[in-house]
Amino acid sequence: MRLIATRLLSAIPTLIGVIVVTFVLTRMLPGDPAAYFAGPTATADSIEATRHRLGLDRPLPEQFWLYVEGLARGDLGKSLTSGQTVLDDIRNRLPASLELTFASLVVALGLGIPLGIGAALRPGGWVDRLCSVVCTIGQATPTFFLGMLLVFVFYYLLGWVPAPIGRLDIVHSSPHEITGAWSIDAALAGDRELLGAVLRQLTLPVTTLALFGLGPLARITRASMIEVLASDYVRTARAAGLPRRKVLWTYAFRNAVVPVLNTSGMVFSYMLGANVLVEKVFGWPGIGAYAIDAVLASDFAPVQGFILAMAFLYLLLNLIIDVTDGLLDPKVRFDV
Amino acid sequence: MSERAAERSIVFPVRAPGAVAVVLLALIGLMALIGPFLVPYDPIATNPPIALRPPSSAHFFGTDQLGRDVFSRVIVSARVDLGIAFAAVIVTLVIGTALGAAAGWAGGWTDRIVSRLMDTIMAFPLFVLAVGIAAALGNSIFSVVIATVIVNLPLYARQARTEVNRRRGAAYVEAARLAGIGPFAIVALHIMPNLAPQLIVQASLNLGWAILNAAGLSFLGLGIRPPNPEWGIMVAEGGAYIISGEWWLFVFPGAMLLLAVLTFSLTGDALRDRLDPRRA
Amino acid sequence: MNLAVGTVPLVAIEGLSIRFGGDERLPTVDAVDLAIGRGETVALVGESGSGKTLLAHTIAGILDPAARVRAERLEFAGVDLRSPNAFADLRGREIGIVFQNPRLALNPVRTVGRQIADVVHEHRGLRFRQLNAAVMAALAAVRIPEPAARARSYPNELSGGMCQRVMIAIALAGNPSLLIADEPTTGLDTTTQAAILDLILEHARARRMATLFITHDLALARAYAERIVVMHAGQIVEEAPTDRLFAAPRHPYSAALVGATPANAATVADLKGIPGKLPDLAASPPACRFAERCARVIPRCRSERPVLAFDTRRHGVACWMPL
Repeated sequence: MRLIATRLLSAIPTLIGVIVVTFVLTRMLPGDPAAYFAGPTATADSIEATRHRLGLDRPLPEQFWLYVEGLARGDLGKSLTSGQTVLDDIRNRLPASLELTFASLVVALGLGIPLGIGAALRPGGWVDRLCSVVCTIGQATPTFFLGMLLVFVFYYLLGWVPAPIGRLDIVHSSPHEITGAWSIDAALAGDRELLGAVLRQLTLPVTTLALFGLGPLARITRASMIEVLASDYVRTARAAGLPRRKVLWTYAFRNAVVPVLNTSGMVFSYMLGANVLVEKVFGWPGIGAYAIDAVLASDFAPVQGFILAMAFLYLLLNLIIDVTDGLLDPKVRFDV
Repeated sequence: MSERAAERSIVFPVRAPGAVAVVLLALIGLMALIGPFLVPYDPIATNPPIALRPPSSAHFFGTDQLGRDVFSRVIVSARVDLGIAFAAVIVTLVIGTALGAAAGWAGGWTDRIVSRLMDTIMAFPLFVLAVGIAAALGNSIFSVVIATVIVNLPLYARQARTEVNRRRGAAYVEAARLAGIGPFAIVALHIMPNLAPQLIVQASLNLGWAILNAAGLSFLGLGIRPPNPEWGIMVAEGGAYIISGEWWLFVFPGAMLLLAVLTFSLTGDALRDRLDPRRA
Repeated sequence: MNLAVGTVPLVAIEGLSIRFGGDERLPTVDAVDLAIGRGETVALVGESGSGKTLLAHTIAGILDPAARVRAERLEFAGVDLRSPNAFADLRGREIGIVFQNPRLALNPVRTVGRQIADVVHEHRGLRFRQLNAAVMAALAAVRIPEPAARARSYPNELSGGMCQRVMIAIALAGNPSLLIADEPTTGLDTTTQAAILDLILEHARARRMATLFITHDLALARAYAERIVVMHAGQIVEEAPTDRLFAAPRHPYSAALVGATPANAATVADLKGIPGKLPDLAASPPACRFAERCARVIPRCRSERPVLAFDTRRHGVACWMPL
């Protein structure tokens, strides 16, 4: 408990910095939102009226104070293009992004950890070489290019996956939303056909993001496992005649996992960023696409909300990882 | 204790990549430097009648939707993308290292402010921050460079701060200080050289990331504007033609991006093996 | 074989060589013979780098995979250890091993109770309540106070001595016929050292278990072993029943060791008084690897390796100029 409290406290100054930076950035967006919103037939007067209505004519510090005040109330402003509050927009669009990112992280872990372990068990062997190649190329490939390549090969050439037009094709309608993650919602509703459709649409975007995150995870698993496999306690476990599987998981991996977990946090952060690109390629109605559209329209409230939401998510994730570290590693607990 | 021969096999098998890296580096360097002079066609000249032709002996990479020669555009883009990346990395290296060194040397408030600043930058998912900065500064090469610079600052600042902090109390530093040498000279001439190998490796790996960053921003429409050729823009434009089968529009610029980034990754790895073997 | 005539040895090693790297490199352990009888307590003594740990690891089946082993005979209870799956049933079950620096040799993220349970379950197939009882019994057998509370502790919460007791419990879990103790007292204070060694000996006697002590401490060997084998630079130079070795050492190296050992059983970390150091195997060492450090050296020592020859009282020495 104390661990959580201290971590929360140390996160506050960072949070303040994040809020300030976000505000500054989005006020700097070029273009005049008042003119845009007032429309093509606007006169100078109506633009001024619009500006006053939106509170854009107040001095900057006052705008900042209004902004912080609004945040505390949960008011993130209104989107000029959608007409709804940013909070509502984010609520609508965030689940799509989260479903994508989490699924990708899970897949990346599911592929990367075994790859890293296999590479560590026989350094220099073929798994190790494969791991090395996959990691290097995975990190060097632009995410958007990879996405497009996958679409070209698996949709256009092979026809194995449906068209990249978003979360569902035109035939199916969305499931009744409980979690916001359509795969889970479809499963909860017991609708197998819908679940299949949702998963099929998820396949390529998840593959793209997962391949992107695979590299660092496999690498850290490999490095961590190599170190742990050479430790005295693994030697004891082997000498005591424990079966290979037990030595590998309970003795070796259990000790190697903490750095892997920490790297997952970093990878999640990269994925949150790369999300924006993947959403563009696959027409995914997530928060990244929302933000980019807003940027191109000089609509700053959504951009602000987007950056804040992402930073907040990242902060939350780091907190969770810190706490999990403490649970997994008794030594960390004692240090606090 | 017993000879741990297994330690020998911990090193990544990276000998061959070093040679490959050098070749690729030369290739890309040539492309960037003299490419624009040697291309067969004007990269911006449109020619609608021959639009969307597949690769042929006349047009190695085919033509795009406006009849422009893809090959020429890809070659010319090298200068743009590499230029941005180099500019960004050099600037961020200088500023970041300076900030970190100042923080490490002076300690106190300077340290606190710089550290807070770096922590704030690192609190954002980096590409998200880059998007925000590039959006705020408008569509230009400048905004892309600045975005890349800011996002990469913490990397160099931290290294410099740690190094300066570590050596601040060393005997030879004391001696230099007593001899009346100013702090700037001490840091620059006596402490920084120790960091040089690490910095070079870091910069090389960073170049790859900078290229991806710039291309990503341009892909989204936040960086350079068309019709200027740039790999990210070309891939973005080519995206519309995937489902009609004109693959050459996006594949060649994308592959070139991959190649460029790979080059700097391999170079960085090879340099790390040479200059900093204990980290390998 | 240096055992009482007619006994079948538990460990039978003849002509064992261990080398790293290519065939052109000289072997680290050079054509060694060793026999251990059932229930016997033997000490393998030598400086660091003498190859004693390699030898121990070979018997325990945990040798570094990069090491290459060649032997005329390498058997445990009649099983040829060179065959591929030889150690499958032996490791941890028939052969137990206790290491030095016990806290580092235990899994830091698993309670000691669970670690003992892992081994007991593996070798005795017990579960749930029976397993729990066995773990408590194991902890009690190594004299750990408050076993129920201790079982829930992590290694870094326990003292070095307690960790070593846990290690011993783990090593004994399969009821082995051979216990190897590799420098078991390193890092422990003197009182704890004696307690640990007494514990090992007590179990050895009760279970009629053979014990192989690996140590650089001749005083320890004297106090606890029936027979002492002295190694130098990968070669066995002398072997004798304990009292015979101390009464009349015949190899110049052993004599120097005996001379350097104080009369009481205090640990001697480094052995002063023996000039020179271990030969560099890459630089063409002499046939008898002690030659350059020996005061009694003759030309034959450099060119021809002395053979380990035994007298009628089971005292063997490998030297052209024995004392």
